[in-house]
Amino acid sequence: MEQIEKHLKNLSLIETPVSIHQSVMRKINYKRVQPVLLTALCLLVFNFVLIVWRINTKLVEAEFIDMINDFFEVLSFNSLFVSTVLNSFFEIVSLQLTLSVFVSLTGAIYVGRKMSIYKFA
Amino acid sequence: MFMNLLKTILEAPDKNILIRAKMGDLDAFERILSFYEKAIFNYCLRILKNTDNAKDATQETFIKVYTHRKSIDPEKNIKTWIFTIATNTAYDFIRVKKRRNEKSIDEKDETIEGIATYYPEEGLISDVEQALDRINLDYKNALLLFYQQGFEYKEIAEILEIPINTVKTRISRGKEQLKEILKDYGAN
Repeated sequence: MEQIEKHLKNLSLIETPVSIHQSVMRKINYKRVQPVLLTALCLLVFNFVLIVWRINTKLVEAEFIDMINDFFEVLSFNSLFVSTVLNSFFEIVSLQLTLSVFVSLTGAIYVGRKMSIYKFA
Repeated sequence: MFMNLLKTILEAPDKNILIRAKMGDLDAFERILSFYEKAIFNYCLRILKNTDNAKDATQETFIKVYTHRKSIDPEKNIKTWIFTIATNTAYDFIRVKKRRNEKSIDEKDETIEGIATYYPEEGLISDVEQALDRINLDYKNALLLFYQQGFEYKEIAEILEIPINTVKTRISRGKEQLKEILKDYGAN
């Protein structure tokens, strides 16, 4: 029995994974920031409602529902316009060409940034 | 041995740290976390027998500690309180796992080789450690708290929310069960 007790007192312990400490601190920090984020969100929503209400009451003979309908009409027109432009564009210029331009441009920006970091003697 | 003891005494969160943690000081909380995370993780690992579940239970324990920091009593031993939370969290994990109809954690058919998967770096694992995985969960819990964590009967009673005599019985029966299992090992 004494041997058992001796073993029980010296049970193996493994090191705690580092991720536990980091994860706990991250979650706790989030918990601390959460009320601030919630307040900011509430303020944004409040602002939005206030602005909408203000526009609704101040605009002469403009009904809120009509405004929303107008908004969606304009939105659908715009999306239709954009899709038509895009379709026509890709009919003229191939997708591969567009992609190659995009990749070249990204590469040029990347190289430019790298060059600005290094100081040439 | 003496140096380890000295280190533990010096690094243990003092009353000032506990007061600061209670007030919501993150640095003070981090010191508590750093000091107890290894003990809690190993305790959860012994109970849950699964590294991922033990990690989750440890994280949840410390998040609960932070959430309920107002309950910290600087005059009392915070270790007991943290272990109470850890025990309840680990038992919650077991309950959830059972409810999901997964393989039960404290089933008797848990293979004794299983311990090597969550203590992979330890090399040879003693027969006592293997046998510990096969005894009743309540007995094992009491043995771990008494021998590994060095709690007194009164503190274990507080952690497990049971009378002191039950703690003594569990420890004694746990040792008996261990002895029986180790006899089988010897026979094989």
